[in-house]
Amino acid sequence: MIDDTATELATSNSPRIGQIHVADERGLYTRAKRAERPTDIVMTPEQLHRRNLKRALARRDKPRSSLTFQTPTDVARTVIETQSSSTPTVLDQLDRIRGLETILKEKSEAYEELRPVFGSNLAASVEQIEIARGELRLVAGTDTERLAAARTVADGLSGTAAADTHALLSGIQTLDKQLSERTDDIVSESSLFHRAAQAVRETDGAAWTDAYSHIEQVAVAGVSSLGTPLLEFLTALSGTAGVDVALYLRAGTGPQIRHRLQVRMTISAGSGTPSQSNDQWNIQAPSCSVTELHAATKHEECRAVAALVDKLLTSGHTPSDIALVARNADEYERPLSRAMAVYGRHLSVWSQLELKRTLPYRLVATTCEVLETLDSGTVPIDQLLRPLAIHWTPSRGSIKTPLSATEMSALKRHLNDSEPRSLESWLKHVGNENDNIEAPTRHLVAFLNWCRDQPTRPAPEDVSNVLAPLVDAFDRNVLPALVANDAPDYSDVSRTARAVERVAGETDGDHLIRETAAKYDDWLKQGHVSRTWGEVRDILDALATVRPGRREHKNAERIDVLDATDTWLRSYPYVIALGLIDGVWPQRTHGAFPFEFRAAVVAGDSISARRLGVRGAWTEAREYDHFADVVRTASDNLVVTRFREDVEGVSYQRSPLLETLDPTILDDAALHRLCSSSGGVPTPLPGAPSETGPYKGGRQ
Amino acid sequence: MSDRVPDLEGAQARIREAFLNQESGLFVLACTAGFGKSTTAERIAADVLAISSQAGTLHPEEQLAVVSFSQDDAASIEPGLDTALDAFADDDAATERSLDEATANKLQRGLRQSDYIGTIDSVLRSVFEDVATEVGFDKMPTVGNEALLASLRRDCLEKLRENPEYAPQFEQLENAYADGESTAVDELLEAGREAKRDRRLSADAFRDQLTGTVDDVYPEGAPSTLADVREDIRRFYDNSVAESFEPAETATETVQRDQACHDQWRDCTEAFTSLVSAYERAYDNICLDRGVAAHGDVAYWIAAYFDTDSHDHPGYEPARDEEIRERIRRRHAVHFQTLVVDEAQDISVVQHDALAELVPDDARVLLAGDTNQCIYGWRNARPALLAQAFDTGRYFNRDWGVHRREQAAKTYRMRPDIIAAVDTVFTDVFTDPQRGAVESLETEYPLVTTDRDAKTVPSVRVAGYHANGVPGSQEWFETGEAGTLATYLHSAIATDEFVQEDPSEAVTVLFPRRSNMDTLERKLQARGITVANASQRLFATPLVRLVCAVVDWLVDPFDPARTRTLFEDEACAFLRADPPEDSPLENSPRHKVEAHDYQLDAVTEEAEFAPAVESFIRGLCTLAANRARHACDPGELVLEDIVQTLDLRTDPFDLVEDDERCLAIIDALLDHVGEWEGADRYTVADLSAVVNEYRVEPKDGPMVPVLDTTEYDVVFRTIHSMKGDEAGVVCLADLSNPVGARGPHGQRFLAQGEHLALAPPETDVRIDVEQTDAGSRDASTPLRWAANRWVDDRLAGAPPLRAAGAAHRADRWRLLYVAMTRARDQIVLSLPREQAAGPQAPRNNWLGTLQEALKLERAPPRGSYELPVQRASDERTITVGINDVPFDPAPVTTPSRPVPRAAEPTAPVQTQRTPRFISGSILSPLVTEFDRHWLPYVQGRALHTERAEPDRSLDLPFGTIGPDGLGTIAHDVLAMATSECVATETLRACTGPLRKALRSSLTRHSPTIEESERRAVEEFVSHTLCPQFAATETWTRLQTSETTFTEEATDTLVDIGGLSIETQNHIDVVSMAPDGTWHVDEVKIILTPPDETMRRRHNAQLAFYAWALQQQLSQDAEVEATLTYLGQTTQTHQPQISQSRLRRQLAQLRSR
Repeated sequence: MIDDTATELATSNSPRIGQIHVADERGLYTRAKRAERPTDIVMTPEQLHRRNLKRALARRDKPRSSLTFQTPTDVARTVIETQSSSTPTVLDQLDRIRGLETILKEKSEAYEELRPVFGSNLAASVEQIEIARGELRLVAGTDTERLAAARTVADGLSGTAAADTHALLSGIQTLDKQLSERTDDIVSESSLFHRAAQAVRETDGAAWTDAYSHIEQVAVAGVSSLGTPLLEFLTALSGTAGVDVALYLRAGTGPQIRHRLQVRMTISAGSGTPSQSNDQWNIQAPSCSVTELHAATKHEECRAVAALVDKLLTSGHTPSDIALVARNADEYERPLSRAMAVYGRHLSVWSQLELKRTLPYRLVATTCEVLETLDSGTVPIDQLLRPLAIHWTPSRGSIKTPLSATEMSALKRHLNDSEPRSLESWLKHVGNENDNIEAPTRHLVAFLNWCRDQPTRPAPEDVSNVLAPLVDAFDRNVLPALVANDAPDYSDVSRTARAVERVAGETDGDHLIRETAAKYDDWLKQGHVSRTWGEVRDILDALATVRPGRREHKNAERIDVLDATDTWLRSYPYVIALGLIDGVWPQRTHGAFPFEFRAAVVAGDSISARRLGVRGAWTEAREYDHFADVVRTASDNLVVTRFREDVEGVSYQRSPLLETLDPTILDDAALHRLCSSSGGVPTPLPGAPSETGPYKGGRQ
Repeated sequence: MSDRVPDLEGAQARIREAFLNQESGLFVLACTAGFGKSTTAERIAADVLAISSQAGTLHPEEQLAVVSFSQDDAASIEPGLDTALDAFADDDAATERSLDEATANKLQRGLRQSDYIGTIDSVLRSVFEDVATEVGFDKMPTVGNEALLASLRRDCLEKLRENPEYAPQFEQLENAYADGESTAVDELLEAGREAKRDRRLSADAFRDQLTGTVDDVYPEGAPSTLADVREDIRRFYDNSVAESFEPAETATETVQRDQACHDQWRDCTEAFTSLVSAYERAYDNICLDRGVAAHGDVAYWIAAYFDTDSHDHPGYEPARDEEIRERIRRRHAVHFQTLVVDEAQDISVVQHDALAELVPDDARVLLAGDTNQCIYGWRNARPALLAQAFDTGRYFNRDWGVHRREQAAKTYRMRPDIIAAVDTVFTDVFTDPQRGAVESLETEYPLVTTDRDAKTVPSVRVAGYHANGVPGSQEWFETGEAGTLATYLHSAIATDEFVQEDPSEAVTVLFPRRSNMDTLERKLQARGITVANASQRLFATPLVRLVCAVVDWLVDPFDPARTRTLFEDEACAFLRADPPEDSPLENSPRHKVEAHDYQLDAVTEEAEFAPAVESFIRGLCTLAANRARHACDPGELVLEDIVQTLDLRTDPFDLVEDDERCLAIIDALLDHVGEWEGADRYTVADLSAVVNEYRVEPKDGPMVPVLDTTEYDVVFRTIHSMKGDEAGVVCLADLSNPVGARGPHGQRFLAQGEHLALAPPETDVRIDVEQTDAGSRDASTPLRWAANRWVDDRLAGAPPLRAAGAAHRADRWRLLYVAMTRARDQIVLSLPREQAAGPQAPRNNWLGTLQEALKLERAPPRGSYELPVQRASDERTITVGINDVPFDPAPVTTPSRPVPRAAEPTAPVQTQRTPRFISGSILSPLVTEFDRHWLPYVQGRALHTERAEPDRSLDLPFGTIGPDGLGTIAHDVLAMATSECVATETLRACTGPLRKALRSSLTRHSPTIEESERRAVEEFVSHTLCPQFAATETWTRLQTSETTFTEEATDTLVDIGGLSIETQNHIDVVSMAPDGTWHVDEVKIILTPPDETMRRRHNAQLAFYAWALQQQLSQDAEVEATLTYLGQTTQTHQPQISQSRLRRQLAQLRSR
């Protein structure tokens, strides 16, 4: 069973974490009060977890001004900022990859040892190398004794795994050092934590109290792994600054983190609590009804779930009562959406915006491509017309509406026999051919003229000056038309409007074009890129890939679809967990370090191994974290679903996570009834809402 | 009760013992169908895991690889290992493999993580992750995407054709083989490249093999006289044919023609081999460039990379590259320490060579296979490798010191009569050099024993029909076989004649090819039998072909020419169909559209179509207007839009036989396209190109999945797709095609096992030794190419071509063996009643062989007869039923399942709009003008209500800072005053911390503000707002409060018509007076006199705040709210708080 009591650790003269809670967040609720200023910092690495905690407090009608919610990075940054009176800048992943590429190209001979691991072309493996760098920092930080412990673990591995691990430990160390030497910025969040810890220690805690004089407790909540640099920072806070530190861990990974915490916090080799047994995770038995539904394929699974949702809503439930959960909600979005659409119902998928598939993004990206191509010579008709097809309108002038599909087609057919042309040639061609110029042609001429007015070698400020007005014009000229044409649920408008905000909206921190301009400026200064629209386009693409932005979820009539990890602290009367297939949930473990090394660190069979942190993706325990939270999220009914075969007929096994439950199985006949249009929710699935009282999480 | 692990028996146990007793070596298990070789292999692998685990190995699964050939077989490996490990854990007896449950579980979890359990292709793909960049890829390529590969090949060949260097060769081959057409030569080159690569032949070796064949066909060189020609005819045919050869021309002309054939053939071979090599190089380059590879390429690249003789490429650095290579090899070799290969007869040379490089010398290798079940010769399976391993202990290019082998002739699958019938047939076939005695392990066919009991009803049955037409022809099947077989199956199913262990299992009908499936399906369905065709090509289905046609059209839907093409597409027959006589409509839809010059927009004005057609055409118009969306969406979503918009889930044109199948087809289409597309995004044009690759060649594409066969009476499958599987009742249909059909004689390029040959030019230089029916390839008797004709007891033709023909035929006989050995309980053979002759003779046709072996001539018209058969210990008889079912049953009525809702029309949109998050500040705007504010609400923008221009007397410039910005700055200052409890004088003069806060706020909100504007704002805040606030009752009250909380987050959940809505309020000030009364204060900076709308909005905000605060307090707590206006005027209000009014307002937000 889960240990739900706070555990005191360590002896009085060693660094200590005051409280460790596994799968029990009651302490957080207790600390929430009305206060003139915050007394507690609650650090949740995920934004959604922060939201969930706020919602959980709201559900309990708890005032919360005693709590301030921040990411660990924000806190570390503030500590350093207060101490040094300047805002520390941390390289992001794109910067690091660029930096690593440069180093690997310029000084490739220094990294010969990495070639047997990643192959002879190291630059081709730069993303894997960056993952390995991140893993090493998470596991061992920068502390020499922990790095020595990692080497000791490597010594115990078989030949190739040992060689690969040693090469990684040494090569990544050197790379990280080089990366650090090449920039005035802080290389990564790990380094930020390290510096913040250093600042606290070097000032004997003053760096902390200067920044957070009123804070009594720091809580880290909802984490599946506790990286060494963050632990180092927490250790400094508790040991040097005298702040209470509380950890709110999760059901799967929590016991292991707790088990080896003392050893990890103790720097000097040979000390630390001797190993006891490695605590085993367990799933708390659900107190609600559990039903299992298995369909032939993923699509049928989704159709069954859609049918169930529709019948529940028809029988009196509201969308607030129901949550659909999958290990990765994205993977279920399409088939679920299709299945729900049959019933005229819609989803709110709590994952990243698919920015690159939106009109505003494509408008900006295709325009950059046209500008780039025009600059380098001639542009073919298909490419030239692409921005117009995605509703380009001028930011000034008399044209206020985009070209319709019919007009686009007519224009294209009219010009289709044209060979690729330069801008001037296009202008001449279009003008010559059309003395009595018609609307579509006028639109094209306006676009060509607009292109001619843009700089061919864009300066950083041009990025915003040229591209932002495109999106403003879209906002002004196109969005209202979309509103007029959209269905009553406003699906398309919601997505497009959200994308407008992400690409060039009013919020500074959410403005892709400004982010692109800043990155372009930075990389120009560093010599990473040259002044072209193509480079601007590439940066747009890279940023849109790594930070697509959140979606909007502002319509309460849509059914929530959540990643399993995001159910932390949420509560719904009716939870339907999809995709409980071995290999899908739990996912296979993965990492950049060799399997043997990862397995040894996870197993923690030696003192050296226990000294190291464990990346969440290295262990199936993280999958149990998510599953345990889903089970807790269901207050009345939990339905677990899976499929048996993929579209090629390959069989899939039932998830071992389900072994922890004792579900009632829905038979085939009931499944067919469920998926048909007749009848209500078939037994044994619970149907109408409970009459016994208000739901804890949904209706009140 | 004591649970024991079931023991392996006989050869199973012996090979297991041998394997486990050795640290390394080669172990070969050759066994018959149904022996349980997969079970044995999995069990041995599980033993290895258990024993290693007991010996203390931490992760024994990391040192194990278990591979099989097909995806289906591979998918069962892990469950098989799981079962065995579970059995070990449940076994009460303590043995060396006993496991506790936790260890078994740990091993099972470990196996799930392994990349080395699966198909050979998947395992090699894992290895290639490390090799890809070493051989020149930028990253791991996309593997096995046939659509990408097809366009890659086409582009590659196109590029090659553009190279003038190769123009003569192309011209030569096109003239020789393709009558000037390029496609045939393209296919020829691809076949050559694949054959060369699969055999890992160098350019020279490839050329030598092809030239060698020419030399073999002209053993004395080009002829000089007609006698030379006759001599070769004698060699390749016989004396009588040679003597009776009558040249069509004079002797000289004939000799010259044959000389020309020789010379041209050599020239063509030279041109072909040069082009294949050039094509292979270009293909590799374009693969590297595009990051695409075929499965065969992956195996090839691995074999080549580790082959140390092939590293002379530019940039090769021996020391460095060797270290990398060796590290990669060792990294993977660990996983092949124990290697189990199931279905080992199906391994190709290139797969064998790739694995050989990875398997360490001290490995333990178990090969389990059956050469009699090798039916993938056409995919370069090389059973000879297994035969060699069995015979000599040589495999993976080395001679194994320890070599153990076991051969088993036992089945755990088939009933005694079935295996007896199989033995009766194949004792002759597999020992007959004219039939299957090629590449077998043994020259003698061992009689197989069975573990299963006999049944009283016949296990072997014949559906006897009266033949009509030419065997193998459509006429034969349609007019002779299909009717009788349909009636037979119908009768047997209707009368429960088939008795099998699992009564819910469908009857499996196996076909050697797909072409006649539709005919039988129609006939069965007419009798009420439900049929699932498990071997239907997805892109051959009418529904998918319709979708493909629409995708093509969507490339430019406003182009009349495209619309016309769509209306003329074979998939859109419903658009060309004339209306029925009783219809008020006069013409076909196409006529109407044609009358409007194929402008769909113009057509839809007139609603004169049948409803389904009208809906379709309207759907097309909707799709056409959706082009901007399609320009952003990936191909999968475009397809989804097509399906949804045209309502294809409901199958409006009856293109699919049942609802479930319609959904399955759509699912499969979307899934496959999504998978091919991956992270890329197909444009509509890309999508059109991809789907058309498969539309043209459905056989390259995927199958339609049949997921729940128990829902059907009958399931159709091809024999190939049934390999590795079994069924209770198996019926073999459409057996009449001669075994020699589609053999080497009809091919331009021959790649059969070790035999490679390019056909002689298809020009007038070819000589036939006999005059045959024109146009019949099967009956042709070429002098210099493979013939499909017997000469006494051997095939005609030059030795290598003859051997290739024999190998092809042997492959076909093994196919029959595989087909017959799938049945567990009953087998039904569809055979003609008439005695076989000519093309049906036993050596030419399965029919003849089956008739002969079953002594069908002795069969009664209906009923059963006894067939004596030889068994291992004695001779006994088996009962064969023939047409032993009533032939006049009533049509079957299968209880229908409820129609899936998903196959019915889409419901109207149910989802409306209710705000999920609400705060006091946006309540009133949303309630009063929901539609206007929804978009900014979604975008997270401020909800502005109409307001007048700021009062000019305030003299505020508002250049950079607008009214909202001013409000924020003022708010920062006043909040500071409240939270820091400054003295009234400090507030009035805006000094000390307030001045600092003002400047800092100005800098934060408007860093680039002009000095004049900055001064104006500063002045307004410090000289107007601060004194105003200091003079208010609000300030006075706050000064005396017990506690004060500024910017207080006051969140709660509110129920709006059953929906749980989150409130997100930040109240300016929450305070508690000394008497315990709670106060909510909002301070508003106004630049114009407050109008009614503004007051209403602010009152609603205050009321909401007060209500929210109340939720957090005890029930008896008293909450008062005060609104303070500063700026243009100073006013203080205490709005009346009405809970019921608030409820009404909130209710108005529901479902708008």
